[in-house]
Amino acid sequence: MQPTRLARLTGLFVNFGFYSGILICLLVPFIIKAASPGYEAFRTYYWPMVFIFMLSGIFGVLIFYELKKMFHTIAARDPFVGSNVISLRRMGCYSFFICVIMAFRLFFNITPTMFVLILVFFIAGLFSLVLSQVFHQAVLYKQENDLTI
Amino acid sequence: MGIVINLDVIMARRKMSLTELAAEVDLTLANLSILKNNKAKAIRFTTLDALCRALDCQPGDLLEYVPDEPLESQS
Repeated sequence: MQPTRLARLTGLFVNFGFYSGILICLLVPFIIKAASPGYEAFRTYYWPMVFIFMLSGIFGVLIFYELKKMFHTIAARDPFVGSNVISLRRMGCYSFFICVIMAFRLFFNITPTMFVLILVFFIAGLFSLVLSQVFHQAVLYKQENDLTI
Repeated sequence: MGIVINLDVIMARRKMSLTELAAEVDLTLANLSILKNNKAKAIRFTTLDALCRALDCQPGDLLEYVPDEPLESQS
């Protein structure tokens, strides 16, 4: 069956996010160096900032990787499988890790955006974990339905 | 053990193969194998009706309750 236009667009966006995420992760030291004249925190805490942004970037890329894996099952019209439950659980954990890393950044410089980011990733993590439970139930129902002859 | 399906026993008595039965009851071979190997979680009345009709038997001939072994005898 042909994927819909929305599915194709989502797939493209996920792939773009994954590959551009890897590229941005690798370029973090240079980006921070380039942005440091405008931000004092970047100048003062160059290496901690590189470490924080790279680590949160890696977790961001891992989230995109899990999305990529999930998208294959959605494109195959079989989304209620155990691997997607694990992917959602992992994505929730990665979001919480990003949340903790962002909270760690508060030791170096405090901006209102930081609190928003922490809140967003905390809610995203919770949402992902709840969704994994929903998927888990759906997988059980599907298995039961498949084994009803 | 719980509920056991004696499909293979009845099929052997009627000298009917799985392929023949699958064709007669309009089920796929895969689904009939799931049923025969006691892997099914539930059975529809329509399937039971079709099986009883094809094998000329009663639901009680196909289904059997085997109680679970008590924990003491297992240990």
